[in-house]
Amino acid sequence: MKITTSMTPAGICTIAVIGDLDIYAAREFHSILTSDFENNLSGLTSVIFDLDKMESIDLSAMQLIMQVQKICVENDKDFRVIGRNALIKEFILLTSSDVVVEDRGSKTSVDVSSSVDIGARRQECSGCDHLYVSIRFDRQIFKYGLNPLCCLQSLRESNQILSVKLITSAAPEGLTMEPELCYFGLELTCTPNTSADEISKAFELLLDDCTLETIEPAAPLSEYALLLKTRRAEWEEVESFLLTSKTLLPDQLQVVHALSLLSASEEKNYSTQPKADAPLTENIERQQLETSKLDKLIDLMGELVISSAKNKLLISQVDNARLNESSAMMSRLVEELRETALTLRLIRIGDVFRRYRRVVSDGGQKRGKKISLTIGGGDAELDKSLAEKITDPLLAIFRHAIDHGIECVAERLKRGKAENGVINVKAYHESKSIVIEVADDGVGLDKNKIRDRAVILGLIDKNQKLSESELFQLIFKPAFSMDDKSTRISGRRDGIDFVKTAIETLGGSVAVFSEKGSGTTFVIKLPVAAAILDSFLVDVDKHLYAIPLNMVLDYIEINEKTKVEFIEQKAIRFEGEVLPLINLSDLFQAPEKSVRQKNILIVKYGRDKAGLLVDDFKGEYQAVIKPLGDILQKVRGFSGAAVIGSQELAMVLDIPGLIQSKCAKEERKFKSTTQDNDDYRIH
Amino acid sequence: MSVNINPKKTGQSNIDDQEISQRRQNNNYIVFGIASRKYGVEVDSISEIIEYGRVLKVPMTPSCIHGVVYLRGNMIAVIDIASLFSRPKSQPDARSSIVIIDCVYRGRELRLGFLVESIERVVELSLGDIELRPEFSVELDSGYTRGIGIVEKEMVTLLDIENVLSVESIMDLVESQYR
Repeated sequence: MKITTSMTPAGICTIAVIGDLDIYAAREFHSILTSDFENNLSGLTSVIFDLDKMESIDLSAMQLIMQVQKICVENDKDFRVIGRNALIKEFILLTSSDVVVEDRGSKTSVDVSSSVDIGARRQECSGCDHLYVSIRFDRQIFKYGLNPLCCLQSLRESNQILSVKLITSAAPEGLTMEPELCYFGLELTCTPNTSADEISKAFELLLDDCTLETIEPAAPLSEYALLLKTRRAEWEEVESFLLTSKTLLPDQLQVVHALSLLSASEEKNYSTQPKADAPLTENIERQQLETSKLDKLIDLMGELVISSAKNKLLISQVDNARLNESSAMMSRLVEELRETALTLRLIRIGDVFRRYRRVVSDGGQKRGKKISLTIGGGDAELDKSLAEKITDPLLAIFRHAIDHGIECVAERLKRGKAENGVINVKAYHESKSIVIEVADDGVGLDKNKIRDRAVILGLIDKNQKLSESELFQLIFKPAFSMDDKSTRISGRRDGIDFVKTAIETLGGSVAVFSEKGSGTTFVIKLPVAAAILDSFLVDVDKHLYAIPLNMVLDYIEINEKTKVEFIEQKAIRFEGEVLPLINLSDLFQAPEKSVRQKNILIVKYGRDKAGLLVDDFKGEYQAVIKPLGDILQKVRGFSGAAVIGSQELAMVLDIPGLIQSKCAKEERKFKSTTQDNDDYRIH
Repeated sequence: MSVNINPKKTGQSNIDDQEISQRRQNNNYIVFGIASRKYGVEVDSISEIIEYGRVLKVPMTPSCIHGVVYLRGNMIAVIDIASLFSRPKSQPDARSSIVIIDCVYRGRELRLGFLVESIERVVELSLGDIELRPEFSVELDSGYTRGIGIVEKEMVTLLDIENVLSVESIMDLVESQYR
């Protein structure tokens, strides 16, 4: 995708798009529009979108272009879309909003109190003979890889659509919108022979993430009124479409308008059979409200756990048996309360996976591959906030499998594999983590190819020796992509570089296993609940650091009695194994060094172990983990901050990252001839 | 303890037009000390000021990242402006405070704090009190300042705080640490 903008002195701004304008280009497109168009608005006379060389468009781009159109109309600028291809047709079809609704004045003057008339007409039939469909999408659908315009395509191919309109009222003013969210809705009318089932089928993959209402041909006016009621915020646009699509006659629209303004109690007066089921949208809203309350509850819970821990500590110092007993009782209850509260927020991971079925089947089809998604262990539960955050990384992994993993049909047959490629995703619990495995049965990763490319990119030294897992970790490096040509579905974020960082910010890790020729498996490990962490505190140069307790294997206090075998201060021997030793004080380069006797904490992550040289052990604590915030999101070595008790704060060490960078560093030191002898600074 | 500075409260409903136009001309500035110099920031751009305390250091970050503070459930990065201006790092003491501002980054609200050595006073400056383009050289990039104000015969550099604490440039600084 490429966007160029040019501006003539006369104030004509031409924005030309080449290639695909999809969700991955949305943010870039948005920033180009903001800087080149919105900021120069006063000097412009006309805006031209040149879509001649564009290959595809999706709703996210439509939203932006239509917002530009809106701004142009409001500011009296000329707006044009040029090009010769079929996209333009589609574009004009969807954006034809230049219809002026007549009788707006008289409509609002409809006297609601003339109830006899309205009441009598509510059962009147609309007289139109087409199916009316109204769809509103979940804001997040683009992130699930869903494009509503694709669904429309199938209906259009069978000539079932009579007219269609994008409903734009929900979008924020101008270009202030978030480019990766879906604000638009769709209204369409279909030929009489179309059944509501066919519509559901066309939008099948979106059904979980949208509200779809259909009104049968020649339905009573009260049904349209009900629809209008649920679309209250967008009534102007919906009403104008009801007229232009010839669904309702102007006088019928007046009745519908009046009916839609009736409150529920007034409605009853007219209604002989009150409609039992409430509009779907209301349900959703209530759900969202509960979620925010739930988050508040979890937050408070976290604070309660902490203050209870502090209380317990203070009481234990008083040495009063009865007080101790009651405090122990309370701690138990708080603990129980905490566990229960945390389960409230868990959702089944199968629900998360199901969203990807479409991505997989669609993506495969576009590439001439047959791919199906199988789901295992969908019953495992995951914290809701975590589930939302892994949506993007999971999508990237699926896309990697679709683009680079599974071979096309001919290739598979040649290799004696089944025609159908399979991506299997499964989830299971492992101690306090949840593990998600995404496995494909495709080509697998080619170690030599990765190696060669890494050398070309300067990521590793030519003679550097790397273990298999280290080699595979290289594919997460930015700019690392096995294929030079960028493919449509992976788009801008070709390669899966952001997967690793995204997962690690969540306190998890990702590993890759692959066998050349038989497939690749991504293994993601995540903590079950992100909010509260059992952690081990250590002191380094008078600052506290927290380590997730499940990663602590052992601790060794160094005194006269214990004997620890150091190897050049770079490694230690522990239970017969040689472990790398990380000197945190050196790593952090604190200005004031402590002169304390050091102690060693043995940490593990997966199969990796390491020793951490610290000043002092502070013991086990429960901590509420907070992210460091957007500004510090790129900070390495730490996965967040821990709040312990009401006073103490500690940085949470990113053990997987530390071990990995340490190992990489050491290997470079031992094995390469050009030895750089600086500190253990990460990367 | 925290001091709440709510700009909305200063506006009263029954002021006439003349007063409104005068108010537009006159802005309230908070004057504070950073690295033994006086700076001013418009009151409207500040959301609150908290006492210095409980700052968590973040090792392996550039010196302009003073640390993070925990404020009502969130971690907020605290920036050392002295360091940003290539002056020696601030050494916080009992008089130090943290000034919290709200900024918008990629459409999201974001809170950010910066460290000040002392809070001096709140002054009202009219446009006439501000030298917009000082003829003598100022140590700062002109994008960072809005001018020089004279408060009780003392020069106060008025900062364009949104430019000084640009989220993008701070993030770039953090990232550059690992290159």
